[in-house]
Amino acid sequence: MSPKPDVLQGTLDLMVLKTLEGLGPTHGYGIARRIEQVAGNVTLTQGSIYPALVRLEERGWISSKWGTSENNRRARYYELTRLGRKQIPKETKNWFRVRTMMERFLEDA
Amino acid sequence: MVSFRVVKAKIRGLFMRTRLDQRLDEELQTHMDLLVEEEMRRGIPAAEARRIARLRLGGLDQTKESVRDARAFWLESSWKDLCYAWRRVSSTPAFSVFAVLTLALGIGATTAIYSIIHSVLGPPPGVRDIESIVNVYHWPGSNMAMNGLSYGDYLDFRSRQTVFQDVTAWSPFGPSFTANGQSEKSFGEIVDGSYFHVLGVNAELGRTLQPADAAPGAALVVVISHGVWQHMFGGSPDIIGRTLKINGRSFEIVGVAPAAFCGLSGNGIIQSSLWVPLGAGPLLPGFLGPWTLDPNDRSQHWLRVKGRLKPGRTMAEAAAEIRGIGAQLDLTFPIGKDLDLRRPASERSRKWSVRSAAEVRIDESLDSIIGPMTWTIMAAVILVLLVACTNIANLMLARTSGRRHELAVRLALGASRWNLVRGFMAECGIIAGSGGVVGIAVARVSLFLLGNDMNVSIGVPLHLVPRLDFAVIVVSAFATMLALTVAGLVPALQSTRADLRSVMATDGSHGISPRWRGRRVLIAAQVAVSVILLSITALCVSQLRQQSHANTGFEVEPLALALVDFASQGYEESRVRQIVSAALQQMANRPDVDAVAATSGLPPSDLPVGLTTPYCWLDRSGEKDKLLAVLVAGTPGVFRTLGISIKRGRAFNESDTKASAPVIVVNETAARKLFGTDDVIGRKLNFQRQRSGGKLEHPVETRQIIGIAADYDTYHVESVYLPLDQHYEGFLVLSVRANQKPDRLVGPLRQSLRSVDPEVAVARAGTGPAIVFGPSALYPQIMAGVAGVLGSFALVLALAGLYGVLSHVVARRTWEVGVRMALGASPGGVIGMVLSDGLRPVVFGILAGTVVGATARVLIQSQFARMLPQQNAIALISVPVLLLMAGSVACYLPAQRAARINPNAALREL
Repeated sequence: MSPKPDVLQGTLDLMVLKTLEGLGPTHGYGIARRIEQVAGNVTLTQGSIYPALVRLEERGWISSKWGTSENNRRARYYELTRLGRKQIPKETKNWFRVRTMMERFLEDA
Repeated sequence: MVSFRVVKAKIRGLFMRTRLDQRLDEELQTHMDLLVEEEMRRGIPAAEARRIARLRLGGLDQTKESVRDARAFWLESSWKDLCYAWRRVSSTPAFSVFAVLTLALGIGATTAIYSIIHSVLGPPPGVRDIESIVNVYHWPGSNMAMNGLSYGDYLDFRSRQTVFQDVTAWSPFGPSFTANGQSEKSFGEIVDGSYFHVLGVNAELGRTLQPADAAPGAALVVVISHGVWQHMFGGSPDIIGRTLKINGRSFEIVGVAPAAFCGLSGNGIIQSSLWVPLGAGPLLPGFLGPWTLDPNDRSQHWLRVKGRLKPGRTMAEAAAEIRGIGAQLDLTFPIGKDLDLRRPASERSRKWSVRSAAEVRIDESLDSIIGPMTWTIMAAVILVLLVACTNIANLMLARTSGRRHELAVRLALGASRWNLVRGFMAECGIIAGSGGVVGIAVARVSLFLLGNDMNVSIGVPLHLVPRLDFAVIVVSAFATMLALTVAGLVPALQSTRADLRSVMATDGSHGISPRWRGRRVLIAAQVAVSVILLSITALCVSQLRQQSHANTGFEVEPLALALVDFASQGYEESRVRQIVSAALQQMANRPDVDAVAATSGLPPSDLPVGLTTPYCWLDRSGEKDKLLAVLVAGTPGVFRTLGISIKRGRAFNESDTKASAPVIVVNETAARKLFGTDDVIGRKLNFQRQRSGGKLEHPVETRQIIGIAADYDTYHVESVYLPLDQHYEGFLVLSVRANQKPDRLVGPLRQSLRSVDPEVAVARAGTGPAIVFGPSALYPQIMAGVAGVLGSFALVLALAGLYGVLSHVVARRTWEVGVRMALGASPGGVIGMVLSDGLRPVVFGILAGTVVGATARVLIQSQFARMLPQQNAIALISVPVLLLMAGSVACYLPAQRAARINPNAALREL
């Protein structure tokens, strides 16, 4: 089992954060679907957001609690914390920085 | 990046694990349901929808696994590793206990010996900031006697120096002191008033000595040690103000020194019992002569001087200033101008020098040998520790190679190599950790025993126990961990190599393990080390046995002795005679006592007994040549008690008193040397007791020979015997001859003295062999003990290693042995094959050890001749013989097992 690359972890975390910023409190399925829609490709299995959710929650950037979904199902809802909200611009800037670096690097080669 | 918040969250997660797992299950179930719904809304039938949903969600187990990974706390997995390692370790108790004990002994020995060395070599304990303390010497590098300053010089030095905050002077002495009905003779120090201030030592109770106490004419006060306070006064809290009688004079106790402070005698190894001010010096006779506080007498160099540097001043400045002061004093107060020019220069001028107190090891005079000796000892011990570690490494290698299957399977199931290696480390960690803990206990116990042992042998309490240095323990534990890591890491890495398929296909039992070669060398090395150490032991043991049959001038075995220095305690002759005859009478009344006597010393022996046995000059009237003989002045029972028979004439008896004619009994050797014949009864002899240090000459007396004492056994040294009534000596040995073993008489002997006069301090008491042979047996005893323990330890390790490895090899060579037997080899042949294989490294080891030992001996012979045990062929040969026998036993069992292999079964075991 090769460990997941950090880059992928980082991007997934940011996607989850942006999704929650846009959608407000959502459950796991909702977040996954939204990411699928927005990102376009379906290379990631939906299950892979759960580790990301654990990481974000441990860092205190999101919080979770039980709630009821549209069809009266019991689902776990996640929402941004104040700390998490502050992280979004930071993480976004980071991501753009990395992207510019990579672009330049790949262009040269 | 592990932030505090995350750690907190993870720890919380540890406790809520089941709840979180349930939650995830529910979440995933919901997620799955919603996905299925979505698909069905698109019109896909239920079964197909479920399949697609499963694909989109991804493997449930995988998801749960990755969530678990995300939640994982490194501590938790380490804990799991530890638990698993513990299960493994406890599943093979024999191996684990053996490994732990091995390490414990190795670490314990290293720690104990380093601790001893550290306390022996280290600076005196309890002194504040020893780095800024400087020793001032009269002459660089000369021996103890000439390294002090005289009182006058010290006073001038004090007033003229500018580089020290404060200076002080001290001198050791051997007081006899009594209080509370107990008496003791040990070590003390005479010190200047600034002593405790310079050393930075505060009193535990009461006060320390002050400058006012050292002024001449000041009251007699004393500071006692913590030990004396405890065992002589029972640690009673009202100790201040009580009286302690030192050498017969009363001193007032003004303070108790802290337990950690031993004084400066022997650079801190010898515990000083008390400290008295300089003013008391002249009142206390010492073995270097009376202490003088006359500032005009600058020839007596008895004060050892120390100073504490002012902050910011250097040793170089101190050295320069001291030299200058010394030169000044040479001009104004020259010393030794009347002395013979052949006397050493140190007695005629002051070449003062300084040395940092922190550098001094035990005593300046022992510097040269102590260093190399201790490093040799440490090397030996560390060698044995390494042997222990490599042995464990050996055994672990053997053990892990049997687990290759398990490891291969685990790798296939997805464990990372790092996981498996971590598991090994955990096992090693448990064993090393336990070994370390038990090792510390072992070290404590052995230090305690050794300290007691030395106390008994020399009669002096040596300050050995407390210094269990944590740095040492950490170092040894670390070294072991390192060794074990290597031993664990190597097999771990090897076993977890990616070549799984071949390992799983065969079970690899063909052929000889390639690592056997390496292990053979290891075993040979261990055997070599054992050979060296056990040879030392054998030699020391044989030397000890020789010594206990050493030549003495009297019968030592059945005696119980008590040595009492009456003179230094200020007892008068008449009082002494009273005490002695009363005490001896008590002992004589006992049924288990054959004879009693009091003598001025003991007849000579080949060993340095350390008693101040007096000598005398004999000559025939008219003859110029004087003969030096040992003088034994004793009560009439002396001959019977010491087992000396009278050959001619008579011994003296109760009628030979001060009033009757002066008589003397000479022994055969003395008679022959003086007169050339045995027929000397009735002749007259001039007798003069030899002067003892610093005192005046004794008068010459003429005595009549009344008897000839037989030389004891074959020991021919001139001795003469006088009635104690006619010749008094202040230092007496009370001897009691027992019917059987004298051990039980030592206590009663002390008791009888105490009952006659509770204030009498007994310098030493013990059985004859203990007192006579004790001191010289100390060194070989220690050597034999240490080398013996280490050597047997190394041997056991080597043999255990040999056995373990051979068993393993035999197991792996089952197939090969089966083939051999099928082809016609006999069981005897197989045994022979295994034995020769196994014994080969043992033989190599013996050869190597002998060669290395002999070379080492030749190399260090020149430097340390007197420390090496004497050669003894029998002892030396016994060691290899022993090792060969032991080796054969170790090989025998695996050999037998090999011989019992059923060839059919073996061949089928493909």
